[in-house]
Amino acid sequence: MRLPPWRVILAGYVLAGIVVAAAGADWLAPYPFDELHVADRLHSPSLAYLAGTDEYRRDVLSRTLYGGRLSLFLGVAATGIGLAAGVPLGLLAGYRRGLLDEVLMRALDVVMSFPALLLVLLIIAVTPPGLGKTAVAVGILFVAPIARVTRSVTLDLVTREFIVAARARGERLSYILRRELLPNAWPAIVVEGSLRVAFAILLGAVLSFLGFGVQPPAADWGLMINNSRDFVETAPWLALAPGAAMSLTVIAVSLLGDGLREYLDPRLAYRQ
Amino acid sequence: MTPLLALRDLTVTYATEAGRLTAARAVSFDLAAGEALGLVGKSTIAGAILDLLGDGATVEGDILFESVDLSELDAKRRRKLLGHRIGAVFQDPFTALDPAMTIGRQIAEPLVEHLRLRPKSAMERACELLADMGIDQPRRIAAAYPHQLSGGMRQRALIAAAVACEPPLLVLDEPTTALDVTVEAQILSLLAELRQRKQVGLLFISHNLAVVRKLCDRIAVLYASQIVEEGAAAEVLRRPLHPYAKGLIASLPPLRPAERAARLPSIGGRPAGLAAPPSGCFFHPRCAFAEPRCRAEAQTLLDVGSGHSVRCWKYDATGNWPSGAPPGLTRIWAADGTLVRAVALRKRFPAVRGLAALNLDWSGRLPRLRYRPTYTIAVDHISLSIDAGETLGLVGESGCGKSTLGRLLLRLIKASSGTAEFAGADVQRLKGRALRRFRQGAQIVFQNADSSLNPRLSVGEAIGRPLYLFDGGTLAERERQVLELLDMVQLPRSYRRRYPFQLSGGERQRVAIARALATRPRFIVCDEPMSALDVSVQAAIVNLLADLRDAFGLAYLFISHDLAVVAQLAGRIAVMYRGSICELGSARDVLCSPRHPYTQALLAALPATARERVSGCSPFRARHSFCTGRRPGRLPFSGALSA
Amino acid sequence: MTLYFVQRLAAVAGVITLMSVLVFLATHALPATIAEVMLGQYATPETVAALETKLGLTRPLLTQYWEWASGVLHGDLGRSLVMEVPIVPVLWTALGRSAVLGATAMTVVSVLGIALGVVAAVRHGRVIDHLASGFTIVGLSVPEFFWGLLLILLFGSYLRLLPTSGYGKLDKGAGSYVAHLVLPVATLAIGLLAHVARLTRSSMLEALDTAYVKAARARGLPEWAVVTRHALRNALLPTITVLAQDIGFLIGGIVAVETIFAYPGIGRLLVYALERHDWPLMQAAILVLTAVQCLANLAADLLYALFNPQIRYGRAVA
Repeated sequence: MRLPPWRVILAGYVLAGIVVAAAGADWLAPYPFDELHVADRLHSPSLAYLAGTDEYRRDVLSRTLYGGRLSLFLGVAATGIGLAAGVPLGLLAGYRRGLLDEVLMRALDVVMSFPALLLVLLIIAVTPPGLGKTAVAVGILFVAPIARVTRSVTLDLVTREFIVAARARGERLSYILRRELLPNAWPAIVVEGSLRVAFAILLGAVLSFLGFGVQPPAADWGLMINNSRDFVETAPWLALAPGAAMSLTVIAVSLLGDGLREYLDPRLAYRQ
Repeated sequence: MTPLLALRDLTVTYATEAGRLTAARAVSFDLAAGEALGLVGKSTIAGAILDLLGDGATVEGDILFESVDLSELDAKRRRKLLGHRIGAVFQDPFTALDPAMTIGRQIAEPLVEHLRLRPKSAMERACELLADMGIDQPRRIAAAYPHQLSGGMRQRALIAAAVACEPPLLVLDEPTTALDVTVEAQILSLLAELRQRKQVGLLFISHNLAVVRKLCDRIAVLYASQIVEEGAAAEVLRRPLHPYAKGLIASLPPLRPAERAARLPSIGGRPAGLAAPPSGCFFHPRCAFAEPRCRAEAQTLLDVGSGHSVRCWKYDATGNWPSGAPPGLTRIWAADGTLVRAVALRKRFPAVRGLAALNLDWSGRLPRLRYRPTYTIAVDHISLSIDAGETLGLVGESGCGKSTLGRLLLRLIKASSGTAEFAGADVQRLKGRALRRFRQGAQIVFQNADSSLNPRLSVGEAIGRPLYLFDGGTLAERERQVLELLDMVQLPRSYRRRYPFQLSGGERQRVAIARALATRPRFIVCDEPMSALDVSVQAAIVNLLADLRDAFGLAYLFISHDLAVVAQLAGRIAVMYRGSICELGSARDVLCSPRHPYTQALLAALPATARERVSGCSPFRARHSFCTGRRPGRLPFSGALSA
Repeated sequence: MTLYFVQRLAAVAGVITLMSVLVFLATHALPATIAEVMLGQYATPETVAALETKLGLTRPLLTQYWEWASGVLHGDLGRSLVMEVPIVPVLWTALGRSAVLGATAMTVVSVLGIALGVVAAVRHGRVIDHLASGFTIVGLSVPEFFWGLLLILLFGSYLRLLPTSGYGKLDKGAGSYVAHLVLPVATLAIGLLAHVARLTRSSMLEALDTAYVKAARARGLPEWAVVTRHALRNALLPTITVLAQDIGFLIGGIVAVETIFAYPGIGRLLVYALERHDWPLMQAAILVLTAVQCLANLAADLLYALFNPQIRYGRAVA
């Protein structure tokens, strides 16, 4: 096995750090995220408040750390839903072709014709806001691109002769999908999945920013940036901490996905 | 006379993860103007001359073209020579043409660039060149895009582009390997004629010895990055001196029906690795005449006189390459009742359907919408039978439907009409237990060893899976059987833990054969199993298949485009063209006295060396059927081939 | 070719119809019904029921849909609940303003993005390639609204160069008009630029690795000709396809950007409609935006078919 490129390793470490920081927010954050510090409104960064305080007298750093939980949860949950539904659909459609494939492709076409944001907004407008609902909405949105990628990888694999050999042995469909196709398809799926996580985090942030995602007083990066708009000139630090945190997270996830694509792609089959 | 092209100690190394890899080692030869030199080996040399190797390669030594050292030139001046004074033709005509540009423009480009012609005159000249290449309607072809033309046409266009500026040297890198035999013959004639007319020097790189013989005056044989023999083509091919050359030429299947007990001479082992070649003589691990001295001493090229040189100290002491070992078993299975039968088997694939197949029919008073899907007929009412223990060879060119037929017989594709029978039962109707028995009894071995093994399964797991499915038994029993199977295909037992990427092409093919054998089948469809293998390994696989056939009384449907290989194994041969069988008979009859024009054309297209070896044909005509197409009496193939 | 066009047109019509159904169903499955919103604080079960009957909201969904749909086909998108004016003129003006934003951004993105991608591919592995890759990753990962805020900070607060919100009416002078456009367009463009550049780079790398490029070099053609005439023409095809997908991103981006910069386009209108529960307006805005994306996809498909000889000239010649 070759060593993964340094970018992947670096991104992996950064991401791990973020996950740890978010998970361990209870211990790492200097203050609870909704604690009001009566005296210090809109305090610029100082030793007591490393990232300053916001207009409700809450510590920005703590809120940023807690905010990580929501974003990461959204990213992972939405992608998880997308994978759970999209991968089997893609595998089946790519392997069986026929009517199922045609119907799926038309359905995917329709879903992917919707601008992503609008689709999610639509779903959310219909239901009361909440993190769970957002995750499900984004997850449903993701089924389409994940199914599409899985399907195209499957189409590619189906022409390989070891699949035909499996059929010549009379293997059952479930065996072929599970043990012959999937193990060879998962690299592409992993890459797509990591890109989806990044996209989910961004989408969640935009939703919160527009006011349709998580509601106050929860600490969420998009929400924090939205609140900071009014104080952009007087208290720029309100936007900087959450913005930087989100950017770093998404960059790390993207780099990871990109690097994985390069690392896993070169004919994992034969390297002679 | 200074040679047109002279290579002096050309050495090409690559830096790879596995270390430094030497693809060419101190290669030297001369090519005089108007001469044709055949290189039997890899394309690295062409890459070095044409500067196509990329940054990862280090090129040392001199490449003297018309006394100018190409490797010393800067990119700009070298570029001026390429295309203008040196033309190049590559292997794959399907990818060597820009899909977004018309043929004419692609031929005209070098004319505009090097000869400074105006675009209009360049296009005129391009049409003239296409006509020169034997294309009628050159204007129509010049206005077409690559995807609209057949492989042969594309290759002609590529050759036209290469000779557009009338270069004195033409470098051809496996130009006919991707083409069908009949098309290959035409392209070779074209090249011979070009050489005659324009006195062009040819550097022809190919693995196909017969093709090289047809076209070239001199030959240089390469093994593991070194030239091992060089000399006049007729001389080297008739009386090779280096063991590798001897082995290669001996292992070419002769175009004559083989005795059942005969085995081809073959070269054992696997091709030498270029990163860490063997010590001493690179060929010694596979050489039939090796001695301790061969392992100790690195060999140098020795001059044997009249332009013939050899890299072997023993060259005058080795005899013929040892002939194939006679099989251990002398039991010959007699044909024992019909095992496989196809009755009017037909398969068509939809070509145009859905929305695109809707047409407006204006013939009546009101226009009507008609749904008219079109189909391509891959297999057109074919009937044949194979007895238990018999080998039927199925020969045809690409696209004739032979693979489809094989898969139909195995129920891997659903037939459009007709029946395929196995042991008397209609294969399409089998269910449950009977279906399982069929699957166990009929297996398949594929062409592409690369993709016929699941890269994630080890060899042991791949072979063990059919055992698990059909034999049951305990884990220990299965493991024992896996080891037995590995022995049968002559692979070391330790390979069961290896993964496909650690094996060579020939070894992977053996694993695929072992996997097919694991179910104890009675019938195996061999779908072009040699095509992707290195030349030196093909004979060994043919012998293996013959051994297994004799040991287990297997019936084979042996599909190939290579008549000679088929002749080695098959008792009867069927020739297929565009979905129909146009000739079916015993191997002797088909090879010695073919009746159908297509078979005759196929045989005629084979290069002379192979044909020369056809011998021992008696005018025996039993069991020979002619033209089993759908409409009896109407030849499915007639007239001259155009490609 | 024409057959292809007709097929695609039919597909687009189908998708838009399906979309309209979805949107309609969604708005009519809402917790706060139209009647409740209209009545505001006067909403009691009796008044709501009465209003619903009066507005015809108790009729079968299919009838309501049919009425709405036929209205749309006649050019009538209904009335805004909150603003109490016909939707069409409002939507049209807003759409126009967004179109300016979007079109400018797309132009910038196409030209710069392709150029950047080509340069990065041709100078693969050198400094500029790494820089471009770095820029790409950052541009794609940082959310638009954050870029927007940063730009506001930089150009609005510190440098005080450009206006950070609103819309400069043309009659107040071209300078003001353009000035108000700069920051929103820049914000929109960054993310897309990264995407297009990255895609062009990878298509170019693939194209430069093909056999026909090697063959062209072996014919002694100068590198610039090989890159532009051969590699680029083939590499642009996948880029066209993705540019179409990018319209989706663009629309999402427009919504966010118009919110940040208080630019009165259709994105802002949509957010306004959502916040105020103005369902007819929301319905109309989503329908229009989706139709825009479908048409953009269609245009991209046609362009692709035009430039890809394998689709344009199907049949074999010899």
